[in-house]
Amino acid sequence: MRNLFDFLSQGLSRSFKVTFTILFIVINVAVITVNTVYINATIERQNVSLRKMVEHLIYYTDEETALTYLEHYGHTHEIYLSYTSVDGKYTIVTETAPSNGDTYHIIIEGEKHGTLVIDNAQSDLFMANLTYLIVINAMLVSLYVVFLLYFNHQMKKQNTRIIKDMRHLQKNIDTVNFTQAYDFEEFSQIERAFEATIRKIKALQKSHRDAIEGLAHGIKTPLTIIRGLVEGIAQNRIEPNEAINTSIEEETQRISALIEKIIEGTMTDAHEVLDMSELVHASIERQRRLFEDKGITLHHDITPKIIVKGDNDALRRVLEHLLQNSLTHTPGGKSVTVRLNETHLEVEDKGSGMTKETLEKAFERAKSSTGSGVGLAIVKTIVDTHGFLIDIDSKIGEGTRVTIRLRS
Amino acid sequence: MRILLLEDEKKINDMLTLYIRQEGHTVKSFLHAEDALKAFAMEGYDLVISDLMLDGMQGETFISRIRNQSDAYIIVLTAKVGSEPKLSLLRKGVDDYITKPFAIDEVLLKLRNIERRIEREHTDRFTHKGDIYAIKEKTNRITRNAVSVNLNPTEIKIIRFLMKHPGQTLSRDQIIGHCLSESEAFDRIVDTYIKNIRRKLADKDLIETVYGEGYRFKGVRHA
Repeated sequence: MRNLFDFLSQGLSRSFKVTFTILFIVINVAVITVNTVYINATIERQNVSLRKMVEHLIYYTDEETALTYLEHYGHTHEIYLSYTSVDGKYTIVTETAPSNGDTYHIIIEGEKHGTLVIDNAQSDLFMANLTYLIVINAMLVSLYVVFLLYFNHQMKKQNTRIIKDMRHLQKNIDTVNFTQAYDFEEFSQIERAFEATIRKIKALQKSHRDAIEGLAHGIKTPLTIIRGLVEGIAQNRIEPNEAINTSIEEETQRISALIEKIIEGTMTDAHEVLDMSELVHASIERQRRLFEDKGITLHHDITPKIIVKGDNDALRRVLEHLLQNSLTHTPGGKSVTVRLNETHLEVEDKGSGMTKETLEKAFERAKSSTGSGVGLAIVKTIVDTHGFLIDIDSKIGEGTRVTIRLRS
Repeated sequence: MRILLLEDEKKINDMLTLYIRQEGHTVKSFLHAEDALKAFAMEGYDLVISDLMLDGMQGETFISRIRNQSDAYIIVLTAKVGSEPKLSLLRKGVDDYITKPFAIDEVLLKLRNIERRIEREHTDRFTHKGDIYAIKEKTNRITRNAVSVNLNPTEIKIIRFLMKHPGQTLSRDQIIGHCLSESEAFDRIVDTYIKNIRRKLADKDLIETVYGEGYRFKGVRHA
């Protein structure tokens, strides 16, 4: 039964099922209501006219006419009635005897002639309704099945098409184009979704390819220097010395930083919907101990439920880098404040601050091997990927404030 | 060789300058294309080595400018990969390219090859009776079948002069006028030089005596 139901409803959308069910109920209720009202009205009318007629009979008609009329009336109006004369000579009972009718005393020519019982016919209501309901529901079900069969047939056709399109897509993502129009809006939506996805994948592919090309290109310069120096030493062209060692170390650092940047840049997927407030809280909690250990007060002023689109891991890394920087550059006894509202995320410290020169180069790949500069460069890469903006204000001896504008 | 080096990465520039100098070449190195172009216009260079990614002027522009005013050899240092950029470089008249990161030896061997090619370009050649003679401008030495023959500068000068007019009879006066200094300018000295040349080259017919007129070169010049 369940299988049959699944079969009948396969591929139908939830909204369609709900709509059909509601339609089903509404039609049934309507049929019952209309039928009941109609039947009630009819019965009421009949009863009224019957009673009038009976009164008329009682007072004005002779016995024979009255009885003939009664019999005829009961028959033609499908009204259940029975009549029994006082002397027991006359008995009229319709095919179905009245069960709970009203009783009237018939007086002919001034004398009581007999007792008439007329059924109210209320009991018929259920049966009458049932007939209608069966007919209407049978029609509805047939309609549903016919529709389903047609729908399934159409869907199968569309399925075949879309599978063909998908196969084509699988074989060659570069030349995909969906030329087939779909009859069902849902299929067109699938097609549009796929097209959008492919565009996205291609854009992503391109940005990855660019990133990797950039990396390859960027790596070649330091690599040339390292190779040149190492070969020079090996071939006794130059004397190994401290400066050359430093050079080699710096260039190695440059390569590492580049690789890191590419990984940060390409791994960021800024499309999750996430609660920035929670994320900031969590980051603060993770690092609170480190600040306490150093004697730094960590304030925070965070508006709850700030929702942004972004990459959870990447944004966490941003906060960690920023907090880490503040931790490194703020002496004990001073404070660090984290603020978050609808538009801004700020990390402000009362630390050592940066000189103008350092500030200008803050986002560049650090040539030094301290790593903090690399951290800021990563922060910038991630912020850029999210379409946010970043600013740094810093005064030597007073502190540093990093502001990330969440809506670009 | 006189080499102009343009590379905006200072460390690579310093390193290359040092290594190339160690090979005995004369190097002028530049970090900016504009300076390099000015220097190139002022002095002659045999070879230009240029990086392709430069601040300011594009490497390609620099190369085109050099190529427009000179036939000097051009080697490009490139970090780009793939054959398309390389083809476009060759199309622009670049002679060779070196992909970063390069081995020092790759650079130096390419320089050596270019030096040899330049030398060959500045070498006069001729054949006679199956022997191949070559006079190198730079060293001013003559070789027969790649074996050096010990001629003095005046003798080489005379051969060069004769060689430039093959099959033509040149008078003693013409030879004196072109090849000898005034101090030794008398007829018979030409005969002595010719005799010595014939002896040293062990080839009596290369320079033919035209009685009463002068000498005629019978070698065949070739590139």
